[in-house]
Amino acid sequence: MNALFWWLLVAFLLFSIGAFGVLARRNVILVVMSLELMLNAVNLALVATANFRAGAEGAGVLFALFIIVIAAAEVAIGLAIVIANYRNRRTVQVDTYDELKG
Amino acid sequence: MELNNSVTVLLPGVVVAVSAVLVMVVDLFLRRKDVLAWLAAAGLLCGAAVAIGQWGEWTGGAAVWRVFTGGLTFGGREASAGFAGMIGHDHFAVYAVVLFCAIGVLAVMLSDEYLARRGAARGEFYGLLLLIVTGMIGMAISTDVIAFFVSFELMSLPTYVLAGYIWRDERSSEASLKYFVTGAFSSAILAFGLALLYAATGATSYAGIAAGLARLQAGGLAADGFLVVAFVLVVTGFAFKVSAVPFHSWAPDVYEGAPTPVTAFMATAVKAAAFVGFAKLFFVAAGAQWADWGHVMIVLAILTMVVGNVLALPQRNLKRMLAYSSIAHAGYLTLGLIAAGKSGDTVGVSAILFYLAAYALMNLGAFGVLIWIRARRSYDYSLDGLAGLGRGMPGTAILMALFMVSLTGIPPTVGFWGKFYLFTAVIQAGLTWLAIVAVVMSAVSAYYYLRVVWYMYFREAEEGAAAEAPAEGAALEAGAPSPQAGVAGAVVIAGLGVLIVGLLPGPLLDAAKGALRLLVGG
Repeated sequence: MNALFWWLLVAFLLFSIGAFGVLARRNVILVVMSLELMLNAVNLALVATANFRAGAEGAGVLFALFIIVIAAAEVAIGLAIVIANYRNRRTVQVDTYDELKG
Repeated sequence: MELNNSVTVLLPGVVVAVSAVLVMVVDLFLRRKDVLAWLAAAGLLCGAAVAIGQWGEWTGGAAVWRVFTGGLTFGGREASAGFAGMIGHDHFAVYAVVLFCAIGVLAVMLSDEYLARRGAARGEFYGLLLLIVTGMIGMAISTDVIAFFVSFELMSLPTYVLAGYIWRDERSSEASLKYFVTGAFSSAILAFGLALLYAATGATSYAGIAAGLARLQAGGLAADGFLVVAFVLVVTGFAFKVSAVPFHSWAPDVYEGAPTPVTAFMATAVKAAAFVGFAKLFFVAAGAQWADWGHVMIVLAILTMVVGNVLALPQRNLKRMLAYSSIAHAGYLTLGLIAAGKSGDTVGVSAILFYLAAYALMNLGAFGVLIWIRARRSYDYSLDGLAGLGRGMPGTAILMALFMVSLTGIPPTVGFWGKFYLFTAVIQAGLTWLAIVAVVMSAVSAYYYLRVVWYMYFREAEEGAAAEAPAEGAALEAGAPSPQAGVAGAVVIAGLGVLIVGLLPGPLLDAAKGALRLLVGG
């Protein structure tokens, strides 16, 4: 097992923790935080690959930079949406969002 | 005079992106917001015109085009790559660009009246819409997973905002939140899948990934657990975006809560872009490995068709019904991916391209009719609200019936040809049983589509509802310069498209086939 494997394992664990957070958390703010954790796990995997994998194109670092920017945009939009919902209902608990179903 | 290659590849996207900025800037200085819709539509038409011109230059229509542009050629060489192989130019991309721009124009026409009525006619709406189209164009031209993912997000992020555009409306804001959480979740899954693909192959360009996968396969590592995880994650991201079962649960809620023009746009354009972008990713980057995961796609397609159609049966809200129907159509479209992967030729993908255009016409038309009815009288998007429409608004009812017949897939409408080509491709790939499943599911769908027609013509309206409907036809024919003209125009265009392409499918089919002459791997 080379170094890359362990890095990817850590990334995968982080990603799983984030995914669990998205699925299990009831507070939207924490869901958004978990989403960011998932994207950061992706960054870790990309940077580790660019650094440790023999023969890898260096583009992984570039990809990580793009994902950092995308994550920032995503959190900005996400929090704006959360605020819009909070103003309508005065709560950020996702299980109370049940206007649409059927 | 020729433009730099990178610029020519990107040109339609640049035109649309510049229009997006222009719309938002003009919005600051203008009090009359209806100009913005014209501006946005003009930007999209310019983008489409550039793309059509590029197509024409490659296929020999260059002389005519040069007269218009004063000797400047926009086409560049076909199959040229730009920006260090990040993006590439081919008929496939150009076909997709024209499709996205056309859907965008119809969506703009549908939006104008709706926004005015909801008191939300602001420039951001069209600006965001154009940015979404820019992202879609990016997905079609990208030949590198970095460009692909950035375009994917450029398409997704404004869509979350548009879904919650009427943000004081609880339903709209809730739809936006649900879409954001599921969408961002699926983007992260997709990104991790792409990162693992990069880790496995050491490349981010489609061509590099294909080469890396070939190397792995030669070394007997194709079924490596690592690679399987990467594929599963990428397919999951794809399934979320096209609302394939079992990742579909967001779609009905979001489609119901979002503003109706936005729903129409999401159901058609975003789905089309996802299919176009992922088809390119799958076939250029991972074509050789398709056999391994074709099985997964078959399961996905069957589940999607069955669940989408069956759950659509009990729906009495039309926006929700169309949401489930769009899930079912994602299943049919997935069949095209399976067929193309199985048979190794491109018939399946050209069937997808044809079907995307057909689906866009009939679905935009159906949503447009809902918006049109809502503009004329009070209407809650319910099935019961349509009762007596055949008498109250005969023209509208005929168009709605046409769209429903087309969605079912009955000739002589475009929906029939779309399904015909898709299912033929599946049979040619040797999966006759799968085509039979699809046909049976189409028969199931006839129940809920034709029920709409039945309600319109054979159900009497409740007391007062019929009287409330004003005399129709006046605005339709006089072409009064009211915002409603846009809705009527879009619905009529969609209706004519459904009929004309239904009677003469040849030209569109030729275009869809021509789009696959050459798929650039960058």
